[in-house]
Parts: sequence; C-alpha cells; structure tokens
Amino acid sequence: MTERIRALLDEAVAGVGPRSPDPVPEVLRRGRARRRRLAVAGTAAAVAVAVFAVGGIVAANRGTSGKTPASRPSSEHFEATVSGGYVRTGGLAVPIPPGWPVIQDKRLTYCEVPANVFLVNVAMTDAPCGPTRHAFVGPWRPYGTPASVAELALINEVVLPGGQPLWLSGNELANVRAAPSASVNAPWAAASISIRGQRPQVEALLRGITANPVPPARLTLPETSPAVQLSVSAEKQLTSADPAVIEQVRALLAALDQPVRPGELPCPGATKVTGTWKLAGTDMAALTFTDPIGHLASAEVAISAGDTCAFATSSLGGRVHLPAGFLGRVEQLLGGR
Amino acid sequence: MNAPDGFADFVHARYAALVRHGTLLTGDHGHGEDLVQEALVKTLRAWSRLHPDGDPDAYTRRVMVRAAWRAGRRLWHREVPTAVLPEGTGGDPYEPQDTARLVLGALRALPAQQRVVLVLRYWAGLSELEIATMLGCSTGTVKSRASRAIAALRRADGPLAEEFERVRA
Repeated sequence: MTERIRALLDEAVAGVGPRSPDPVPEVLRRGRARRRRLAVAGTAAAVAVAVFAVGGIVAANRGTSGKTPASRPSSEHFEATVSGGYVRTGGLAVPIPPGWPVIQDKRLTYCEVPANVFLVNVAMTDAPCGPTRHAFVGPWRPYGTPASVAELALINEVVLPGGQPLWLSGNELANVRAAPSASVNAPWAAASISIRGQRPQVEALLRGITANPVPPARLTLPETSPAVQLSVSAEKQLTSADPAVIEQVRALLAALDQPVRPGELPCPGATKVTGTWKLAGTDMAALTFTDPIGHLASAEVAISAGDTCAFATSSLGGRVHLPAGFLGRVEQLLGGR
Repeated sequence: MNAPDGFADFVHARYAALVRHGTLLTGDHGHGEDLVQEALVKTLRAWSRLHPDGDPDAYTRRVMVRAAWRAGRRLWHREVPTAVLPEGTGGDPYEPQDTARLVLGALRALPAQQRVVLVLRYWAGLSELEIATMLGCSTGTVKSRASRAIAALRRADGPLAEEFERVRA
C-alpha cells in the first residue's frame, strides 16, 4: 500500500506547474513588503517592551513572579563507539559504508548534515533539506501511541547473525525490500538504524549488521506499569489501566519458561526479506507497557498472532516460545474476547 | 531591490519542483505556490549564507515544511480557492472524477500536521525517526499522525475508497 500512496501523491502533482511564469519579481516584492512590515512591527515592539519592562518591575516589587515550569526528564543516555569500520552500541555492530566519515554526538540542523556521512547519536533539530545520503544510528524507545493501521501498529521481526532480533513496521519492511532508504530497530540495544543512499549501499549496510550472541533467556519485563496496551490489528487495540489486570498480563508473560535457543528462528519456510534476512515473525501483536495516555512507554513485547512457530520477544531482552492460544489469553485478560 | 547573484537562476531552475512539493504540503496548487514564494523570501534573506556553498533548495524545502507543520493555526484555515465548481451545480454525478483532483481534495481534508507527515513519509520517503528529528517531535507523534492520515484517506466512504479498493482487488 505504501507504493500505492506514493503513486497517488505523484499522480496528484504530475500536472502541477507554476502559475507564475517568472516568480522572481513577485518574491522580491514580497521581500520588500515583509521588510516594511518588520520595520513597523519593530517600532511597535520597542514600545511594547518598554511598557512590559515597567510593568515587570512593578510586578516584581509586588512579589508576583510565577513559578518556573518543571522540566521534563531527559531521554536515556545513548552511547556508541566507532571501531574497525563499525558503529557499536549495546552489542550491536553496524558497518560504516566505505569512505563515509562519522559525525557523533552533535546537534545539527538538517541542512548542516553533509552528504555521505554516518551520523551517530546526532540530533537533527530542523526541518528537511531535501533528500540527503547518510546513515544514522541513534536511540530507540518503544512507541507509546496506538496506531490504527496494521502497517504501523504491528511488528515484523528478523533475526540477525548472532541471534538478536530486529523489529520493523510494515512500512519499514517494504523499504528494506526495495527502497533507497531503510530503517530498522534493535530494541534490545535501544538503538534505531537508518540509511538513505543508493540501493547497493542500503543493501550492504543491512547485510553487514551483526549482534553479539546472547544466551537464551526468558522475557525481561518492567517491574510495574501504569497501563498496558495491546495492538492486535488495525481495528483491535485493547488497553487497560487496572493494576490487577496489568499484573495478570505481566505474570502470564513472566511464566513463559521456554527460551528460544540459537538456530531455532526463523522457522523452516520463513519468507525471505533480503538476500540474507528472513522473517521470523510477521504482523506480530505489540503489547506495550505504557502510561494511560500512551506517550511514555517503558517496554514492548512482540507476540506471534498464530500458533505455528509462535514466539514472543521483549524489547528489554529475552525471547520465548509460546503455547497454543497465548495471544487469545492476553486478549481475554484485556477484555477483548 | 535587485536579486542577488545566482538567486534568479536558482529560482528558475527549482521553482516547478518546489511548487509540486508545496502543493502536496498544502493540498492546494494556489496555496502551494504561495507557500513556495513565502519560503523563497526567507531564502533570499539568507542568500549570502546559501550561495555558492550552501544548499538553497534544501533550505527552501525546510522552510516550507516548517511553515506547513504550523499551518493548522494559520494560512490554510482560510477558504480554499478552486477552479472546479462543487457538486450540486449541474455537474453529472456519474462522471468519473480525476484522480489528481480527488487526491488533492483528500489531502486538503486532513489536518495540516497529518498531511505534512503523510507527504514526508510516503512521498519524500523519510523514516519515522527522520521525520521526528526534523520536526522536533516524538516518533510516537509521527506514527500517530501518519496512522490517522492513512486511516482517513482509505475510509470506506472517503473520496479515495475506490482507489484503495483497486489495490485490494
């Protein structure tokens, strides 16, 4: 469907052309008008500042200054190292395309990002500057907002060399297969990876992502959560903020005691995504431990929808086989069945 | 005031593409071109920094996207001019509708921020993370805006239902 939307948008503007045969004089005219407006506004502002300054002094003398709003907590600290041609973070290794320099731990406007660079934990603070070619590794956190279409709500999982999972939305999966840009998420490393370049560069980077092997483990889950939210399909999103229900869901997941062992995923017959990647899980339900309004999620668990080769993966680590009908039981707890 | 060196050449070379981008960001040809010209005024002011070593096209698009993102509060709440008379004025209701017109109509019906995210995600091909960093919002916000935009576009009684039906068929 992604391609269809793109095609519709292309079609919408295929016949659109400038109405102004020479826009330069109009732009210059607007520029002059804008300067005039600014000059008038500047004079008015100077008067207003003087008035407010006097008013502020009066107010301060009366002791009426307001409270400073509490600042929000900062996001998790993201750390990565660059060595041996790879960007490494939390057991994840992402190859640096040959000849691409690395820019790390900076805050740039989008237009300051040069072409053909690898950005590591770079916060881009401005609007787009058109298509640029670069790779990116930065922090990932679970989504806390329910999506109403399956392409965005559900999780697809591939298994990296080394055994760790990568998660992709339906859109990301489509891009990984064919587009000149791609992005994937390594939740266990709290990292997101993206690249925009020529298709061979995209394929080479994806092919070269590896993870340090980890021993099989049960699901790691948050101790507590104010709410849980289950996305089963585009139409079916279940939420509960009842502490008893949340604890039941958590206990159900914590009781799963058959960790996936190396080589067990993907199961035989898995669909190929690229030359080296196969889908271990498709359209998996997303169980998010979140706050009631869905903005600050602490963890996400991907749960197979079917009973064939069924497993669950936690964003905090751990992956387990599932008994038949497991997702239905979670739905039942959340009042969905 | 004369155009500085290189500015007119830049505008002539990139104007048509910028108008297409602006049309999608606003859902309307006229407002799209208006958006481009307003953005070019800012490009003109920054021209000494952008020429010859900068990227004026990228700068202009950035200004356009930021303006469109904020547009819910401003310009595009105004009446939208149209070259086509609305239904009920004698037109044949069974006449096939032009897809381009339907798509632009559907874009106009979206809230500004949903429209911007939709265009960046599906037309410009940016990832959710890239869009979030560009617009200074969370990926959750991008995800929800995109989700709602798609859901609205393919609503069963919406103007694009038939187009999406063709995909499913």
